Amino acid sequence: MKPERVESYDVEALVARAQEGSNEAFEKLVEAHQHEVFGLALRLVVDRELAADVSQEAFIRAWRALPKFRGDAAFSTWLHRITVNVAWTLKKRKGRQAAQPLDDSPEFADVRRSSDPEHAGETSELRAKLATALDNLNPTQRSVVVLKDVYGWTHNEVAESLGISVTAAKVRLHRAHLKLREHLREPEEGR
Amino acid sequence: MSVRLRHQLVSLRVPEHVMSEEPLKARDRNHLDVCLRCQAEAANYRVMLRALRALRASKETPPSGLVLGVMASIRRPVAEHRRTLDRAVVVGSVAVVAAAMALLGRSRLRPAN
Repeated sequence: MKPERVESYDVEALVARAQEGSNEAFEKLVEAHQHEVFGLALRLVVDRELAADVSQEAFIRAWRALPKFRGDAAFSTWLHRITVNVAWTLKKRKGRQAAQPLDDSPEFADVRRSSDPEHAGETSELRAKLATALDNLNPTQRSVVVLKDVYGWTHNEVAESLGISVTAAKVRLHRAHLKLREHLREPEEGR
Repeated sequence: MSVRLRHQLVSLRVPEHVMSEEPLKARDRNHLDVCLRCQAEAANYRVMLRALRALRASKETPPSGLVLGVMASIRRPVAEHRRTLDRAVVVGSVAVVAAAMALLGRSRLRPAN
């Protein structure tokens, strides 16, 4: 199932209509952004069921907050911020992450399997390793890497979204990078 | 500072130099220019960064009912509001009719002067 493509000017028009209360316009926005929102949620919470809850709640909150959206940032960026907030809230509330041993979670296999259907070949092994390495980071380190390295957020945006200082965000990112690198290190590599 | 110590320092700074584009000081830069191990490590981090960025492009398939679930949730309050409104209109109408009938009844009962 391919994501529905909506050009940026379409998004602006849809947002404007949705702000006036159009359910149809908002439904198109949800259709267009569901893959990205679900993907972000899944990388943050590493649990498909919880990621689905996060995605649904994020869109509902977005609908409620839509009248306040001024368009200072792109709609997708704004939606991502809401998704991150919801992910943290729901994860804390359900406490599933702490209750489940990382290696026993069946969802990890899904994350890796569905990650890169179109980039088979030599990079697929690296990505699979990277996905495993990401899963094995602690939730905060994983969030920092996902937001900064995968989604290209700035240190400030990451820190603000996670409610930590910029310095703390940088420190966690650095530690996460070292862990990821260690995980990807080839056995024959010299140290 | 010894070459060994400089190497240790630079190897600690290489990850963020590559991953977050943190600038290196001139002395660290000079070391990186001549140290093959640090260059190899920087190259490995570049590969890792590219792979991480590529993860964004890989689309995850959301549950099939996500859109329907969202739309049902945001329509429900509107439908409930509408039902409440309809109920209020009915109750209000009944009240107005009852009041009108009561007034009419009272005027009929009033003795003529």
